[in-house]
Amino acid sequence: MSNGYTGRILRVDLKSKTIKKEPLNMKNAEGFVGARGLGTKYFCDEVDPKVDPMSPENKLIFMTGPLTGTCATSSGRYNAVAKSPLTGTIGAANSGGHFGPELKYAGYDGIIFENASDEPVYLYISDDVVELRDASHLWGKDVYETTDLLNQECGENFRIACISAAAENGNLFAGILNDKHRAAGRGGMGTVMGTKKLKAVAVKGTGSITVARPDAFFKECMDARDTLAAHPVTGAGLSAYGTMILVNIVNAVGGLPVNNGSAGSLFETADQISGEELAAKHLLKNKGCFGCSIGCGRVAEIKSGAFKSRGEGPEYEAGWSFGADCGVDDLGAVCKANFLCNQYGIDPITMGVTIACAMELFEKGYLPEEDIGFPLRFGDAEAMVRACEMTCKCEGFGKVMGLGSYRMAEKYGHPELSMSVKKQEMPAYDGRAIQGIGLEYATSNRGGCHVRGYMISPEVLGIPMKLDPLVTEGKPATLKLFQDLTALCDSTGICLFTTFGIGLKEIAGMYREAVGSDESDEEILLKGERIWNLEKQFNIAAGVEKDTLPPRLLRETLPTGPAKGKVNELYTLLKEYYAARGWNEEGIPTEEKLTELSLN
Amino acid sequence: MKVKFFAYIRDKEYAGCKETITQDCEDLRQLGEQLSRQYGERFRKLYFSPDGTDFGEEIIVLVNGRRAEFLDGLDTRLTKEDTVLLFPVVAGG
Amino acid sequence: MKQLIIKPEKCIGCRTCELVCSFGHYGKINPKMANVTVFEYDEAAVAVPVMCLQCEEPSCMEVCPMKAISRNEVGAVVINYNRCIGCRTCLNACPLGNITYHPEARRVFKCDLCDGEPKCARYCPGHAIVYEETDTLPDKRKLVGERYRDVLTGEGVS
Repeated sequence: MSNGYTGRILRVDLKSKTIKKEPLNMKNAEGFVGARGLGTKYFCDEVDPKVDPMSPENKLIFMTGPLTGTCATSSGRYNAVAKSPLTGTIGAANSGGHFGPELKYAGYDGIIFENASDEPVYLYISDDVVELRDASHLWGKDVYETTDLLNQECGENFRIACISAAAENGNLFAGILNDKHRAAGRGGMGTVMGTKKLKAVAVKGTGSITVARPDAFFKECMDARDTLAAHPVTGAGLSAYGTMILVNIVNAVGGLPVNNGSAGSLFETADQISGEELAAKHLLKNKGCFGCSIGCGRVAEIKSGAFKSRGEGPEYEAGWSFGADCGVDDLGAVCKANFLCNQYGIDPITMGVTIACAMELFEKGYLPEEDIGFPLRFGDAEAMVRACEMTCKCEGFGKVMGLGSYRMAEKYGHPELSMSVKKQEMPAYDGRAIQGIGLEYATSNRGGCHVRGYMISPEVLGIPMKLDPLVTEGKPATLKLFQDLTALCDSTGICLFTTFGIGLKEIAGMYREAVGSDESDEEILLKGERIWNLEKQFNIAAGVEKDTLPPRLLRETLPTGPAKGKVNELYTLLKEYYAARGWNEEGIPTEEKLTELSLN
Repeated sequence: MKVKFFAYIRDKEYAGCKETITQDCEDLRQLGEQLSRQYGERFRKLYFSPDGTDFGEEIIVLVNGRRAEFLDGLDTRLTKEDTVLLFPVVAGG
Repeated sequence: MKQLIIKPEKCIGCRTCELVCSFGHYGKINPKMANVTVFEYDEAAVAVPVMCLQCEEPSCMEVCPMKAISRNEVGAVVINYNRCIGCRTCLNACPLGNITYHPEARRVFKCDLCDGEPKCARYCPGHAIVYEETDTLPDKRKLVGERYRDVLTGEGVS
């Protein structure tokens, strides 16, 4: 094919061990773009929404987009799609690095894994040679060990995506890690891989990707790169400080939740866990994913002390979840916990927030010390790292924490202390101080999540426009637009971070020249809306609970800071949001909307 | 009032420090003037727009955690108790 | 004379150079069909882009039985595909491994400095590949001098 797609996918039945190469469904590719959208479309067409996520009937889909692996900027992305065992919603987790592009060079847009194997296996792909191989010697190994062993076994130029022991042992928020340090992190996509006894995918490809209008495509891509390079955020800020640069500014607006959100959202010693501090003391080098002109990745090292460690990150979210949310201001401990999560392949947002929840349960007397094995108090850096490590290794109380904060808090009779939406933990911004992000958490199709429509951008950073974080006006319509654009961006196969510097015009431009389309920007954006509605339809059919927020955000006012006295005005926001979406008051897409989007 | 600097504004090309105390300015415009005199032309170009009637495009000015654009912009009044935070435009996630 | 200078300490390992090189030369998007390759060393936290250095006395040029390799006006050692028979002798002769063969391209290839406007240098986001006059090289020497200055004045010891 010469339209950005390779035109082929792999269908792997893990039970019968049959591997089929089948043509990509081009009609669906046109309607749902690729990666997140196309993966979800395949999934929705083939899987019963009521399926038990831990059963063999759940499928796991790896899907790239038409821009993945091309000259488009930051084009290293692929998506893993399955029904999420953590939330019961459609799960779609996105990862960068080099794995996705390599899959396309091998000649495949994606892989659909069906059923489950009885014994551990991994999928070996070297261009046309595709085999399921025994992985019993890899079972139980962590991400680093597995990657190293597979690189010895298959060749050092293979790209590896794998799971770790946590995913094999019932942790509900285990991710799929590729290139050692990059994660399809949220919602337990690794957990699903574990239930299928699929340890890893190792891929090497030597083929080419061709696009419909090469010269025009190259120009669009290089213009976008120049725009990103000239932008203060994507050209200088992100590469200099990484995502941790947000700690201080989010704290300054009173939006950095402290102690599981129970102590407001202003962290006295935030500067000690900031990007400035990381850059000054612990940064070894910057790292970029495939084809990325931004390079937000960090390699950091804690050179001495109890938390001596080295790895990639931490990113802002983990910096907060293990930091302010646990009341911890020791950057060494934060890094250590984050590196453990990478090594053991679990989601550091859910991990940190679950530890913070356990701390609150413990301090309030709901969770007895003998269950944990040690006192687990806010601010105790050592206890935080210990709790993280035991969850990584599925030991003792770590097995309970491995179910996520909602199931843990429910077990102890206080589910309201779980800072989650649809059982997935909310990230590092307080929906009381930043109204639009609260609406985003409530409406996200995969539960509490910040990368489905990043309202922090307009509400805190002023990109691309400045919206007052304390008010509700204008938020629902903006969020709808952001969600649709994000769904489009994710589905093309480029990184969401590009949208700090480029927008619909550039993304649609690259997409058009790659696939050879003559659609307008608006028609292309409509695909994003279609994807959003498809995800919503799946969730409704799956019986997912309604859009809401934890009671803390709706009833407990913020005690300090610029948003003092505020709660999230969710019901005002939701009403307007459903109207902006063309959904009914219950949040269900109307027939007219579905017809407009060709979804019925 | 207390003025705090973040990210590259802490570098020696700009403020060269994490924070400073300034006592005698009435509003954000005066503060900008005063800091620009102290730190030089580069700082001025960051703080003010080219015609001087607004903030620069690459700075975020917060007074007690509220973005100056949602207060009175350059005319936002300052008192001794206020804390002004200066960030370059940053992003992450 | 300008030459490609690599600065591994700035390389973020994104392989944009490979992408723009393969596209620029072959109209294909295929990092393995590029005249530059980035090697990543995870343990050392280092990435190094490697490409032909346009030797003063190129072994490839000397051994080519068809005299298909010559130096052009920008100083690049280039292959004339009208004469090349694809015998790959040059690939064997290059002591630095900077001539490659790709089954899809069905020919040998090497860096030709893009006629004096190397795309790898143009689009490298970290400025780890630059195309500069070779007489700027003594800057590195100057850095040594500056280091002495810094150490002796007590600044920047690390």
